[in-house]
Amino acid sequence: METDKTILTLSWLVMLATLIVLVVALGKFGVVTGFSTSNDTGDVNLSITAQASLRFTTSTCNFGSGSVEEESIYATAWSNATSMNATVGVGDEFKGCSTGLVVRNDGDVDLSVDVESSLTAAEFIGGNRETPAINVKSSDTTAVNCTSGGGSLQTTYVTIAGGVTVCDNLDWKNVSSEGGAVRIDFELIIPEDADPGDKGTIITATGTSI
Amino acid sequence: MVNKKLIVALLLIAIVFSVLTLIVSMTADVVPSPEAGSAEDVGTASVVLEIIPNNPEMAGA
Repeated sequence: METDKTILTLSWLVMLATLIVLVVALGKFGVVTGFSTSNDTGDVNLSITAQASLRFTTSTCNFGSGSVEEESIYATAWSNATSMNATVGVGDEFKGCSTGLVVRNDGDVDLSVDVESSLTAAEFIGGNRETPAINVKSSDTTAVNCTSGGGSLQTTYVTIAGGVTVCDNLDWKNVSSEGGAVRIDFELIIPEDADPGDKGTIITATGTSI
Repeated sequence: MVNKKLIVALLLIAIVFSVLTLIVSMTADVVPSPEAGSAEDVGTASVVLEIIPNNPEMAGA
């Protein structure tokens, strides 16, 4: 008799547990009827997450070598010019960087692109007879670009100190297997008394999804 | 006659399985939550030059 009561109690517990599981399962997964129809419809859900990504396709701007005339206070070198300001430069006139830097949006979201230098102009170039400077500007360089995305370029040279937004809406839309790109040009003010030697600074571009 | 101890044991096993199923059902996600994409990326490049010493003779001064 005692065993029969135990079995009866356990049976009730099993039924109760089964009911709870059934209620929870139906609440989460819906009703499964077992019926089927020939023209039923279904949903396929796909979620593509926006991924910010950029890369430099031209990643080195090498001005080459040169010196500033003794008679001049400074020289100005431009990456978008074929020669340095001839009135103040000598040597090969720092004209090696003719391509600037090119940064491309290779993600799947429009980007606002800012650039900054790892070194200040004083650290990078040095000299005192004139204030050294690293100035930047930007321009469109491909069919898909900044202005095609409705963005604005930095069209005149401004100091890179503190960071510069070179494009506030770099288009990502794909028309030729690649996203939009923007060219970054540099203007360097090189004082006559800058220490000779090899000099370099790292340019960091930060793309922020918009 | 059916062994009543066997029946009790099977019922106990059924209860354990029911509880396990309940736990799995409650913790399962029907649709996995999408992962958030990165909102920012950085790239680096370099600007270099070499300043050579002034040499008035070579410069034609």
